[in-house]
Amino acid sequence: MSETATATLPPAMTRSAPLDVDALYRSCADELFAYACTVVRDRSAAEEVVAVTFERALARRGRFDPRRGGPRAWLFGIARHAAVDELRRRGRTATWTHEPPDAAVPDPADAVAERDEADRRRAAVAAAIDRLPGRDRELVALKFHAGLGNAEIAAVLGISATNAGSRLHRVLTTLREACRAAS
Amino acid sequence: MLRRDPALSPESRADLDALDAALAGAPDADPELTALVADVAAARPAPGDDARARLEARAAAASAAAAATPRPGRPRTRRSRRLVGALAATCVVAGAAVAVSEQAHDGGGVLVSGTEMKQEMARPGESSASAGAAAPEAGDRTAPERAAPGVASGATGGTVPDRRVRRAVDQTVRVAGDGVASAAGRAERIVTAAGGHAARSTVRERGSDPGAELDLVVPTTRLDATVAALGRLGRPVALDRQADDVTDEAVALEDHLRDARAERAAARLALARATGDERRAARRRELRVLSSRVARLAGQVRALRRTTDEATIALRLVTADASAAAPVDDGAWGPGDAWRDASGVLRVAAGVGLLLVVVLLPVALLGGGGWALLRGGRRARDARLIDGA
Repeated sequence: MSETATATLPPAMTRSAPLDVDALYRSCADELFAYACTVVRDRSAAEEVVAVTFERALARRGRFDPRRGGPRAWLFGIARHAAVDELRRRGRTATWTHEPPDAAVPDPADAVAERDEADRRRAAVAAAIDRLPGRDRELVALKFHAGLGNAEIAAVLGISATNAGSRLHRVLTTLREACRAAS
Repeated sequence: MLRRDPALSPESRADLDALDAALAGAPDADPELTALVADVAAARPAPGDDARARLEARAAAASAAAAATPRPGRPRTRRSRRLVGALAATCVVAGAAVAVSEQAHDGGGVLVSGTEMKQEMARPGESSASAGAAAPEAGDRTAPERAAPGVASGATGGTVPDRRVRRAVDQTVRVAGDGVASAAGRAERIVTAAGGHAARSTVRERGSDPGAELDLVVPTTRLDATVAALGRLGRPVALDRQADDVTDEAVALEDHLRDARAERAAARLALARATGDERRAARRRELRVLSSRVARLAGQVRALRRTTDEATIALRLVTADASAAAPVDDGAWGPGDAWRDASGVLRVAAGVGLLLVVVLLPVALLGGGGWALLRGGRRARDARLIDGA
């Protein structure tokens, strides 16, 4: 996998062409990992989820129906089921993926005041994401990390576009408040 | 797109659109959202080099394994949908074919009537023997004919008796509105020429319901030819035949008559041999009783023979306004017959389809409801698992 993998599909992958699962996977492998990690909150489990997603996508490539949604939504739907299976198998809450920043400790140096503000803001956003319920955290991963559209998010979650938009707006409001509180 | 979703408030839609712009890196995007996007991206988990290597290895192994197995092919949903549609159409057609064949075998409807008319009207004025031979196919449901009707063998002891069948025909013919009287007169002449007579006739030449009803009696041997000739008075509308096999009754009566005659002959002989007045008087009384019985039985045999030697035709002449039934096939199979047959098949197919819907709809509703419940329950369980992580 390349670190420079982009969110765009390879040119050969059109709706009329047979689904190239390998190319699709490689184009969004990092996004899949970010999504899985956000949902299961464990890096090793996220790695397993990503691998299982690719294996299942290979096995089901003949069942992809472009009339029911785009390839990325189809792949992230498989990833969601794999993440749920992982959570069900483990049967426990995940560990933190990173150390939340300690926003209560001030940096007295004036020269780095601006940098600290950015760091505080990012730490606050990260902490706000961690405090989100699992389903809202999942929305953050699908919208921000994976770059899916609202219709694709609705298809992955099996909800209506209206519901997806409402929930996304609520999450956005929460994150903006966290940003403003940290600023 | 959110712009097409009417349920979200305008402010929410605007916020989400602004978020999309910030995610796309638009230069005029909201600065706050642009910063938020950057902050969230900074918190995005990324795989390390080791993780990437492991994932790459697993992906390569999975691809190699998949390449070794045959490709699954096209989505099954489309093919299965076609297969289900083909099976459903086959079931409907098969059910329609079975129902139509059952209808034909039952002998009801136009098809059977058309067969009757075709066999009787094809050769008008045919001899009684061949007409009688064709008669069994013309709607007799009681007994097959072995010889010309109305012929009794009587004293052929030991041979199979000829069948005796009482026949009746109900016939409706459509005539012109002003031709009822002339058609009725022609009907009576036809019957008279065939050796029969009109037992009763009612003719209405004018009024709101012009028409005629005639009860005609003809020799059974001339029945088919007479029915054919009466059908040519106008346009045949309906033709119903009834046949009642009374052979057993006739044979029993004749047996009783034969026995009674034998007893009478014995009584005569006994009277001739009787001596004494008392004995002769007794023999005479016995002979009178037996003679009375012979006469009664002979009368019954003659009456039964008349009912089988003669057939009745209930002829009804209707005009265009009064006719109600559909015209009967006159022997030729044309577009009208094709339309009737096709509409019959379509009616049967529609009935079969309706039955399938009535039977399968509750099953489908129950199944659909159960599936929806299961799906909703699974979705709720998945949400709880994700929330609990």
